[in-house]
Amino acid sequence: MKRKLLSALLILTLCTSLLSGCGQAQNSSEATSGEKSSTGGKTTFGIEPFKDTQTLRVGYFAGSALSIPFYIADKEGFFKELNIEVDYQTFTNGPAMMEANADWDIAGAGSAGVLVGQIGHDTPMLGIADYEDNQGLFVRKDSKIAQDPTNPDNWKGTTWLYPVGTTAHFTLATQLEKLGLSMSDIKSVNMDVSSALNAFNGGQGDGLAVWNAFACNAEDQGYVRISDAGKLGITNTSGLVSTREALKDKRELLTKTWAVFYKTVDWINASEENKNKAIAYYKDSCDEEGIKVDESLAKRIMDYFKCPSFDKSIELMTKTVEDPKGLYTKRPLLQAENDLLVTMDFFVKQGKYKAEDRVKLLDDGLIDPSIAKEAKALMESAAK
Amino acid sequence: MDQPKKKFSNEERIAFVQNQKRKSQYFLAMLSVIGVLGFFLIWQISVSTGLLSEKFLASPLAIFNLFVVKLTDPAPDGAVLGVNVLASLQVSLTGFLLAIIIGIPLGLLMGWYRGFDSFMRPVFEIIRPIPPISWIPLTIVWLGIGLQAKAFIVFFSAFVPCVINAYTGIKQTNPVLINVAKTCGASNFTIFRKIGIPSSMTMTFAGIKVALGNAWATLVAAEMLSASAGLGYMILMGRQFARPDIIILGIVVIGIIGTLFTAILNMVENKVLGWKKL
Repeated sequence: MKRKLLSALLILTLCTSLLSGCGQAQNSSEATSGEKSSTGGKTTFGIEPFKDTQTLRVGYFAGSALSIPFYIADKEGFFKELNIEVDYQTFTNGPAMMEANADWDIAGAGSAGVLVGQIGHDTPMLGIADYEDNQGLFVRKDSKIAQDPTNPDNWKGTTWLYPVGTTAHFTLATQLEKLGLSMSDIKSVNMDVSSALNAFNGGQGDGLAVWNAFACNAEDQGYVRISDAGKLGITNTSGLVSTREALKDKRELLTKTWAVFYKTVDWINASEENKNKAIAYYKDSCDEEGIKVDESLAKRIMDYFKCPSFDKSIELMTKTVEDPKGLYTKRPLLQAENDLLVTMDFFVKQGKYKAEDRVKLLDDGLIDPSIAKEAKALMESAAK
Repeated sequence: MDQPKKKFSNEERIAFVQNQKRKSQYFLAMLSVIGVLGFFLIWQISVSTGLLSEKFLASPLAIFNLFVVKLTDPAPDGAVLGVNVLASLQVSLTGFLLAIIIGIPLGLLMGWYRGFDSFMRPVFEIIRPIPPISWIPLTIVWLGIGLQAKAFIVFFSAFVPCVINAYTGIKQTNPVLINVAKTCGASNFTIFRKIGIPSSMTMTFAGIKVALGNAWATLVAAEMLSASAGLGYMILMGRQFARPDIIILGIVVIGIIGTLFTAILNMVENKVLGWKKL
């Protein structure tokens, strides 16, 4: 009798754990607009749904606004109504995301991450995901730089904490250049953004260069924002990237995803109500990843979010201009290529990449407009 | 007709045995060299024939060329190879030497004095399984981001084997020797100093070798904390700029320096423990 009771209890426990296991997918496609049909009814953006469920593997940049349209489209049910299930692979830095490119079909990353992917892993950029202005340079209130940031002497010999080889590096170098200084005039200490903020709080270093939530956190802790990418007028391009395999085998899925991504950006900007929803979604996504963000911080980060609209994204990926630097003469360049080359040229100047890498980027078509063109055609046919 | 067997004198016999030993040592050394060369040859052929993509694994020749270039060129990480090696040596040797200075006496005392063992062991057992990398966030707060912080991370990885081996070594002291010393009226401290410590040295040296390996293995993690130069930093920058050749060069240099240090340790061990081989 005891044995039977024990067996029954074990079976019950097993069933319960299985059921709860199924329900724990935090980031699964959980549509909030459940009324929409995924089998033929009218979809939000007029895109025809897939007949069979498709799994989209998204490389998700935790805590960064550039990935947020994926999350919002998922939560608002824009993917589910197309019969697309989203499987998130979360990362906190671009190079790691690019190394793990076998695990995702499409991903969003900052310009440094996009470049590593293109040069080292052959992952083409399909569109621009954001122009990140919130790359801030911070000092303490009592520092000489805070008192007079325009005096180059106040900068000389100071120690700066930041992740070397990233857009924070680019921002700091641009600021120094503006003052007639170079990177050799300061001491650089390579740290990831969270460790850098942690160390700065502990009294280390004279300056801090960090981004997104960490930049807003630094501001909230009373540090003085001396400058940022926006104020310095840096074109700091984040991108949507994919893999050659996905471009070959999952083209239709990528095209529809591309369209949904940028249409979601249009949805965010369509009304104040949607903007507020997007802020709440950003906070939710950070909570899920364990990143400390309150509503005010989420609002500021979303205010910095400058992902181009669907139409503008098409234009960036199709409109061509000559290379303003005159270095590449084989063909005119896409506007998106020019934007990304701003970061590339900085790293070439710093000796981090070679001039051949710049040529490879353009020769190998690592900024690929084909999906944007197909998405444009898709939306034109959907409009008819 | 059988030739009469030549009779060796004692001196000739010794010379013959020594000669045989030398030949055998030479043969073994050549085998090691062939093993290393064979490894590089297979690696080079695999890359040259396209079996392994050069995009992900640079060839040994390319690594050698890069080694020559990095002696004078600071790109892409911002420091020439010599600066990186010196920065890493400073971090790893500081942590490693501290681990020896603190860990070995601690292990010996714990192994010899029961009371001290009961006092220290619970704390040591709590600290022992903690991965060195997990100290990074606290280290920044406690020690900042300078040499002492990085050396602290290395220290933790090297400290544990030093303590354990010294502890185990002294515990294995032959009780007969201890009893003889006691019979002769030696004090506990004299027995510890003159019998316990020498008996533990074989195990202690083994622990130092493990500690050295751990110290180098933790180098990349320590330089992840903060760095502006170093072999670990160079590897991280190789990752940051999609340069697998830089990563491999960093790995190879760490491996070579580790091997050199092991050889030096072996020489010191032979010198210190020569009496045991008699």
